[in-house]
Formats: sequence, C-alpha cells, structure tokens
Amino acid sequence: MTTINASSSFFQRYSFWLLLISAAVIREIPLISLPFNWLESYFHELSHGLAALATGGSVLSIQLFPNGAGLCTTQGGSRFFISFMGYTGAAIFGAVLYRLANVNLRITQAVVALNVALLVLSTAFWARDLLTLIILVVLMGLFVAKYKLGNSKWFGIGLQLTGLTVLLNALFSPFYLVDGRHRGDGAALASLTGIPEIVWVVVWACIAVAFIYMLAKQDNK
Amino acid sequence: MEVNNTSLSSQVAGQLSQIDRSQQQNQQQANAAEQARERENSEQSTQRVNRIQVDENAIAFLEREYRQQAEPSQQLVERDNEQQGSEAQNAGYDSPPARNNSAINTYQAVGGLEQRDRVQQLLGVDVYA
Repeated sequence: MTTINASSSFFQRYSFWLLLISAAVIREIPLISLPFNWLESYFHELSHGLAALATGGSVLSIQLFPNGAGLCTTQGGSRFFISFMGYTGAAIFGAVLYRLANVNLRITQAVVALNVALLVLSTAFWARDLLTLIILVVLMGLFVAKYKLGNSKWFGIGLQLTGLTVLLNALFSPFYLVDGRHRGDGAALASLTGIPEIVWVVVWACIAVAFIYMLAKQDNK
Repeated sequence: MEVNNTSLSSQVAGQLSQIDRSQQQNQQQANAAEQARERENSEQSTQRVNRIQVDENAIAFLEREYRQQAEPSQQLVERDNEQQGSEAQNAGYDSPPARNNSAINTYQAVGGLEQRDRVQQLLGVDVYA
C-alpha cells in the first residue's frame, strides 16, 4: 500500500517530466511519431491561416503531406504576422492542449470536441486534395479515439502527451530551416525585416522553451 | 426481182464513210475537251501551289514569332534544371546527417518552389510552408 502511494505520488510529482520524456521518445519512433508530426504540421498551417484571417486576409487552402510537411496558401493579410505565427502557433496549440487536459474531465472533453470541430471545419473549407483529406480524417480519428477512452485517467494523459509532442515538434522543427537554402518562414521573415533567418529560428525555439518552462513550473505548484 | 449489187454496195460504203467521219469528229471534240480540262486543272493546281506558298510564308513568320516568345521561358526552365543539377551534386558531396533527412524530404515534397513563386506573384497569393 505504501509502495503504491509512493509510486503514485512520484508520478504526480514528476508527471510533467515523465510525459516530456515519453513525448521525446515518441518523436523518435518512426511510425508512431507520424500522426504527431501531422498534428504539429496541421496546427502550424492552421496558425498561418488564422493569422491571415486575423489580419484581414483569407485562406485559400491548407495542404498536408505524409512526411509532415505542409503548405498554407493565403491571400492578403500581414505577411510578417502570418509568417511568424506558423511555429509560434504550433507551440501555443501544444501548450494549451497540455494545460487544458490537466484541469478537469469536462474541459478535457471540450478540448477534444473543439479540436474535432476545427478539423471538420478545416476539411470543409480549406482541404483541396485527397492526401490532405486523408490526413485530416486520420487526425479526427485519433481525437475521437481519445474521446472513446471516456473518463479514464488515460484520456487526460493521452491528451497531455499529444500536447507535449506537438510542443516538442514546434521546438525542433524550426531547426530544419537551417539548411542554407533560404526557404520557408524564416527566410520570408528575413526578407521582410532584414533580420537573419537564424535569429528567427532561435526566437521560435526560445518561445517553445518558454512554454515548456511555464508548464513545468505550473505543474510543480 | 433483180437487185443491183454495185449501187447498194456504193451506198453502204458512202454511209459507212459518213459514220467514220462523224466518229472521228466526235473523238476530236472529246480530245479537245479533255485537253481543255487538263489545261484548266493544271492552271488550278499552279494557283493552289501559289496559295500554299503564301501560307508557308505566313507560317514561317508565325513560327519565328512563337520562337521569340518561347525563348525566355525556355531559358528559365534550363536555368531551373541547371540549379537542380548543382543542388543534387552538392547533396551528393554533403551527404546530410540523419537528423536533416526529414527536412530534405520535406523540401523534396514541396517540389517546384520556384515555379510556385512565379504563380504566386502572378495570382497575388502567398504560400507559407
């Protein structure tokens, strides 16, 4: 009895770090990591799209690729804000997902329902090709599968793990831009502001690290 | 009844010679008509040849125009191919680490980015990766 209490208190105390390590391990497993990459990519492109809408532009389409890449085609809006919000938005989505899954069952269920609704709306308005459609349906299936777990503790833990995996992906993805090809959001921001691409990569990494630090601090309280 | 053979034969011979003459005349007329037709056909064909020559000039002119228009885009395509070739060579020399492989895959999936840029500028849309 004492051992069980001790182990549960150990898990409660270090749950954040254990989940973070689990998320880091999941990221390295080839097939298992794929849907998490798609989810991060989806949140990334969705953030571009929402930034375009927020600054008076419009979203023409969102494309997702099986290897975790994505494209968001917009018209109008602030190019700076839209470019900046890709990686930032993915980090925000990851952190919010983790944080809200930690509050109570009702909120966790609402978060899952909201995510499914977002995916349905994205599919209806912005998915223009079969591949994107399939990926979005798979992501919807994953959220619905989590919902099926009902009120068990794995429901919350599963969503927290998803949130942290998205956050870790948002932390490491900007480093893929450092390839000397001057392509992607970092290059777009560099050409808009004159600030080198590497600076933007560091900024995005710092934002993701700041979110991880905040979540760790809140969990220790 | 006595029939005068000589007068009958001379009459028949006269009639036959008349028939021969009329046949010759008919043939001559037919030949003349045929020659006239042939002359007409040859005239028409020379006229047709002349018309085709005019068209060929026009086609040559149009081809020249088309070539002049197509040259810049062809040059762009050639430049793209050269760039891709040099990039492929660099990739061969660099042999990227495993960590960067997914980034390379990502960029390979998002192929034809330069063409995409041109379309972007044309349509006034922005593409964010």
